[in-house]
Amino acid sequence: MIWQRRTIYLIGSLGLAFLILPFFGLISATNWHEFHLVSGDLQALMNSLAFTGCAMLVVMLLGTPVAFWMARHEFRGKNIAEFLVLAPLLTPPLAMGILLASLYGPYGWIGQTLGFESLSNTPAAFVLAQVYGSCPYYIVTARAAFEAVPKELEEVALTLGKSPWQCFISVTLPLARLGLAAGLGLAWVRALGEFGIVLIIAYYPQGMPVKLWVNLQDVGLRAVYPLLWVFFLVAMPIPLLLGFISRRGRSIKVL
Amino acid sequence: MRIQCQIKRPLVLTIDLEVQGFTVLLGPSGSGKTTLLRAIAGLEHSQCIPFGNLPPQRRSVGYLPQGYGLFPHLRAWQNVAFALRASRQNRKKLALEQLARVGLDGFADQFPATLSGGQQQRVALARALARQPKLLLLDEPTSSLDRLIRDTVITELASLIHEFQIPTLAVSHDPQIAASADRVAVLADGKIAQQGTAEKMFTEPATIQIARLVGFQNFVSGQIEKSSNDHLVVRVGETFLRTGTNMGARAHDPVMVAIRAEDIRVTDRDITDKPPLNTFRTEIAGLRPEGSKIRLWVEHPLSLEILVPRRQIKEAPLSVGCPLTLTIDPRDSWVLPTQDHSDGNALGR
Repeated sequence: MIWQRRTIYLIGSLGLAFLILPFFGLISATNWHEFHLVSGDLQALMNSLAFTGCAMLVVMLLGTPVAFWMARHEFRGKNIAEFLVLAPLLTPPLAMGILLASLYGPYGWIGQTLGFESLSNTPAAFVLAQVYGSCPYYIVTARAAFEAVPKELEEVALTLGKSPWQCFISVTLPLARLGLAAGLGLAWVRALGEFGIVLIIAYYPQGMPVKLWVNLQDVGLRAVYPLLWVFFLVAMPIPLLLGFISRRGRSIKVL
Repeated sequence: MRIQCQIKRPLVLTIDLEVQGFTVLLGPSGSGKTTLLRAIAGLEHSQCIPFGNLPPQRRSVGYLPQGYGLFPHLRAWQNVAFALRASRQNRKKLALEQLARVGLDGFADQFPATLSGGQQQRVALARALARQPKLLLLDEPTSSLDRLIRDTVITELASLIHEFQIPTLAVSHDPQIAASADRVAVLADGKIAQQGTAEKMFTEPATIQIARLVGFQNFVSGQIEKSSNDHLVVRVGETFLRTGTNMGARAHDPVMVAIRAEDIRVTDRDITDKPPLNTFRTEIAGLRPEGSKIRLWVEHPLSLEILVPRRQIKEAPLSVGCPLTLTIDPRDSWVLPTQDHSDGNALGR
């Protein structure tokens, strides 16, 4: 038994080391004597934060009803709906970008119908690209979170005189909050790092991923590492913070 | 309160039930007890009088599911306050009063997971009653309690229900809880097979199936030999058994005699030449200790299951094959018609 445990420990550690190896590479590759941002990096940071924030708002407003619907209702063609939710995820980012460009871009039928020329290279296009890239992650996680809330509790809330909407707000949401926060954290990381879709439909305004690419092309590696550091420092804390907040008061054991 | 319900799905039920005081609906598992409660609460599609087609939030019904359905993210008082419509400060005050009425004043700030099963049930009761319902529904109120405290909880539950004076319908498969009820009904084959006062249901069940549900274990098949005003004599094989009367039983009718395992008296004394009434000499065919009691099985002259307090037979040597004397009080046996198609296994144990 002991050697079995040791083997698992060893293989596990090796796997973990392999996964985090590139991050150690970043530490050694960074030229700490010439560590400074290049022009436009700060603007890219601001763009990324602001647009990802907007995108998360859209993801929550759009994704939560879809996730709840899938978690609580049985309907004909549910399998198909499940597949459709995953479709943007299964499509390669570049292809997704092209699809979005042909829908929302110049001569796209949505623009023609709604009376605008093109969304390409606008903040709206940037947010749109992020939403398509991250929403499926949120929906899949949120759905699991809703499914974990006993339906019985919602029913009891109904018999206590609450409307279905009040039940959702006062029972379902608080009990699903841990999973919803995890989904949002995941979606945040995905949206912030979205490159392929954004590159096609919103090269401008530039966010961090595209700016990294531009820096690499125009200046070279030395302009990439500082921005990469900023990227990690910005991208990581928010999901961690969400996890921390939702875990606080987690001493409440779910029955 | 009279409740009439037509349910099509998930199973067909046609219910006409009188709920008074503490009413317990007994039924085997899968008979639709939970479905009926959910339908009355408005959680299943049904046609129910008096609530019609109202959505659950507009029916003045308190519903406690199995496991009580307390909100785990809310403290005890917040659970109770959940249903209250009042100003912020008033809500807490009212919730605390309600908790005090069920004897839980000291537990207001605890989360459900830190309360015992009985305490959780009382919080759920306080929460349901806070809305002043016209009817209270309890689904298997004792199922998540451990055996030791079950009896105490049932007694407390019954006295709370009487104190609050709200008609309560509890469904269960546990005859123990029916014993503290005012009224008992039995659900079988999609309808109410029998309903009446607890006393009547426990002593005079209408069919073998109902008799089983109210706790009869022994069913002895025989034929009425003699029928008189105050007793019957039933022939069982070579033996005769004197029983209480049942209206409508006539001589030569084939019948089932129902006897509770705990109603059979046991001694190790031998019988003299002329055996007293309903007394049989037999030997132990099987036995199993059950705490302070012992469950015995005998085969001849009657095939019976007997539950006897240990101290009653302290002196007797107890093992398979040991001789034993049984006495059955005629008032403790109940004669049933054999035509009970719903339960084909009634004859054998």
